[in-house]
Amino acid sequence: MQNLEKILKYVEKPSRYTGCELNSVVKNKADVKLRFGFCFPDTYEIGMSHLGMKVLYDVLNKTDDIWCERSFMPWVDMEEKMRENGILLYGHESKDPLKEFDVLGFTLQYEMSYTNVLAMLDLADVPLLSEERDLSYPLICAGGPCAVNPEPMVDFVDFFMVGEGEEVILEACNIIKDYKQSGKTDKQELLIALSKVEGVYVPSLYEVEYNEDNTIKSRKALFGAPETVKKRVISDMDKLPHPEDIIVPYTEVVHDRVTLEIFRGCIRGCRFCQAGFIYRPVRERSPETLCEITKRSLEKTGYDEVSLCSLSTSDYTRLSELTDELISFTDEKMVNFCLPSLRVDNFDLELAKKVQEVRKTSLTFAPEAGSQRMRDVINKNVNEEDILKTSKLIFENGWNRVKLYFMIGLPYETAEDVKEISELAFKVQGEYFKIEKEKRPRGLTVTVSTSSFVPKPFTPFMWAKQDTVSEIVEKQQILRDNMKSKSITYNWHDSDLSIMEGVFARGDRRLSKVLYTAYKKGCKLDGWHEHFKYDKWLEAFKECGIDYTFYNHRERSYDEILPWEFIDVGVSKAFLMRENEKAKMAQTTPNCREKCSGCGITSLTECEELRKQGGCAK
Amino acid sequence: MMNLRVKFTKGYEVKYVSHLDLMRTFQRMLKRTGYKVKYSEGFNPHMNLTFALPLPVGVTSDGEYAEFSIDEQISCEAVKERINQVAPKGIEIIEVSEKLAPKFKEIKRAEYTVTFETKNSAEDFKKVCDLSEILIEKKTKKGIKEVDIKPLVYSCDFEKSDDKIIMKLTCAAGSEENLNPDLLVKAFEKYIDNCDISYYSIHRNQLVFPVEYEF
Repeated sequence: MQNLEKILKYVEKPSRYTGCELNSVVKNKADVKLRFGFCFPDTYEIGMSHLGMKVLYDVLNKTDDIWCERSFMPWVDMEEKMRENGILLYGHESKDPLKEFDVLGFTLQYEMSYTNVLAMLDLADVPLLSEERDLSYPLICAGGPCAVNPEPMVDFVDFFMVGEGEEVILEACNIIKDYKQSGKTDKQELLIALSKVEGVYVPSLYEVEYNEDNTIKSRKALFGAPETVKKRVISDMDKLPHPEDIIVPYTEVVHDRVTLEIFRGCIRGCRFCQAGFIYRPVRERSPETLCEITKRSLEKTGYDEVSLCSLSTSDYTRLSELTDELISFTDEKMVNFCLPSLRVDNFDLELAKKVQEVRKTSLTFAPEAGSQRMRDVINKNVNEEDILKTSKLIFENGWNRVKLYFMIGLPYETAEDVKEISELAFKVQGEYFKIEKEKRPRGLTVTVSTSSFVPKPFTPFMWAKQDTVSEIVEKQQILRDNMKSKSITYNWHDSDLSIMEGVFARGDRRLSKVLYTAYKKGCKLDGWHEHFKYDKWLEAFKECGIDYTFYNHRERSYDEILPWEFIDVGVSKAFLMRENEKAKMAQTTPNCREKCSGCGITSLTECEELRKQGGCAK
Repeated sequence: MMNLRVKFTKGYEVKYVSHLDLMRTFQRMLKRTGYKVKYSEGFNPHMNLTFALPLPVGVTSDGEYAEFSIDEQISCEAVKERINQVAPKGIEIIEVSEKLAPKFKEIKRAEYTVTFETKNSAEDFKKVCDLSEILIEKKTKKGIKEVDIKPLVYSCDFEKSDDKIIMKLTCAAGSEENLNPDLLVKAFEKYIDNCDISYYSIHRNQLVFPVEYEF
């Protein structure tokens, strides 16, 4: 146990480094056979808001001989004090250095946290490169959505877990535990054993050859490792435990509440959205189970807020039943109930009213694209009529603030499409002014935000060229010029970050050395605007002799071997190609509930939506 | 309805929890008891919960007070037990009482124990306390200004224990006049030649009510 006393006085928000929170799990070191460090490569406030960490913390700690602790990326002032005082990055529960653990697991939620993984290893005094670590160091593993293209991180990570982690993490831990208990110390032998577990990917067991044009020529699996790594899926959601006695942080975190995962997967198939493809199929928890979970969670945490979590809340089949039941006891317990993103096409006024009994805060909708053509290209099955109808409805019912989210830089987008974003904002404003003055709330604010689209693996747009910085800036300028109105505010994002995100999202294993170089140049906390150093990144690419535009600013052909192709997330390449071809023609695809489009997920698991349609299309 | 005053500790586990965060921690703890705690009326109801005096971040305490009301008719002892069952590490309810007088605003002083790891002698510290004025720069809302904290220091005694120096301090505490012991430590660092304090910790022993207050 390290003594943090002497440094905590000198850092901001020290209670994020002390552990000891309610429901954090402390075990007796002597009673456990495997110590797991769950590492979230961002700050405590972000990490503690993440449901996935709570789920896996719960799963691991329910196993008697495993002790899972948490660790986060310290803020810069803390990092400095730790280095000055020789304090190594530690597990929050025991304060023991992570270096003493058996396994460190990083969750890769976004590409721009990759350098934080390196920074955390460095602060833990663990060699960054996998090949420099023998079994006297912890094994480093990683999972999370970015693990569907693990290649840019292969130099640092010993093994990845692809897909849902609840089962595979235990299987992997048990193999490691048994191997270590047997007294053997051959890391490669252990990694080969791990590679046999479905969903586990051991990058050092593969060789990649390249063509002269830098595209991939071939991949070869060694030592009997599988050619294809299948993502893990849990088939029965109601049997799957949901954490209840979750840790209650002292300091305020981003999502400081009970979060209920109502279902996994999404029926929609929006073509830009990676989550919509990699988390298939849709699996719902029942309202009965969810209510029980909520009651017990509230009792064990004392939280005063509950929120629903899924990729598209309004698509939950029994939503009104669930919300009625929840509100029936949350109100009485003085607990707030809140809903995240709502769809504009099936907006439920009664539901929104129920949730916002008293204060009328703003409502947020995400039409994603301004023109109907573009919304068809991205398969966001929403039309202008829905948007305007809903706008009118909410203005008539007392809301005066609307936020509209869009993306720019989408494939097949023209300047005209971008311009239509501003036109749509004005039409929404127009709906407000159509209402008689006495019948509408005062002080309209329409906030329009655009983010820059980043093509991701396992989406129909994975072959697409990403817009360059100048193309994005040009599009932002169109909107800035066209959105001049007292009641409309336009926010846009810097595109530099999206460019780097795009490179690593679709990168190959050669990018590991760029990450290493960039980290050594001081790149970390890249997701934090004030710490993102675009110039250092560009330098790092230059030094490594890698042209980053190869990864994002070119269109790939269908027959190119993509770096992530050896991973099977269930949706087939043929399906994604079909979807991309339809996008080019601005043709939409019905959602899974209307009609199965044969995405291929049934090759991995059953699909409830398909079963309901009585079909078995493979 | 029971109107309650509780006396509680803030241990080392939660010493870095700020006042605002402690309020939230308390609210959640009270919610976990299952008691019906009284909320304010109005559009945005919040739990009616009052603390006697904020405790500076990094300070532990054996004598903090809070007040709230619950819609129950049970013994104070039962309330104490129930809260302690659901309290986080570092927070322990020592006393529960239905007696709400004297009021929190009557508190004028507090007693602290400050432990120093230092190469300086008790005499060095004592000399500073004996000065006729102790001027120290203090950050206020308007900027940095120099204040004399001597009038706020009511008594301070020193003793040496092993290689540590222990200061028993009684000083102003309350809404009108208040001394954060950290400022006195700063004064030591300013006034003592070759001051060498490698570490210090502050513990609040108790808040002093003007008349003898008993549960």
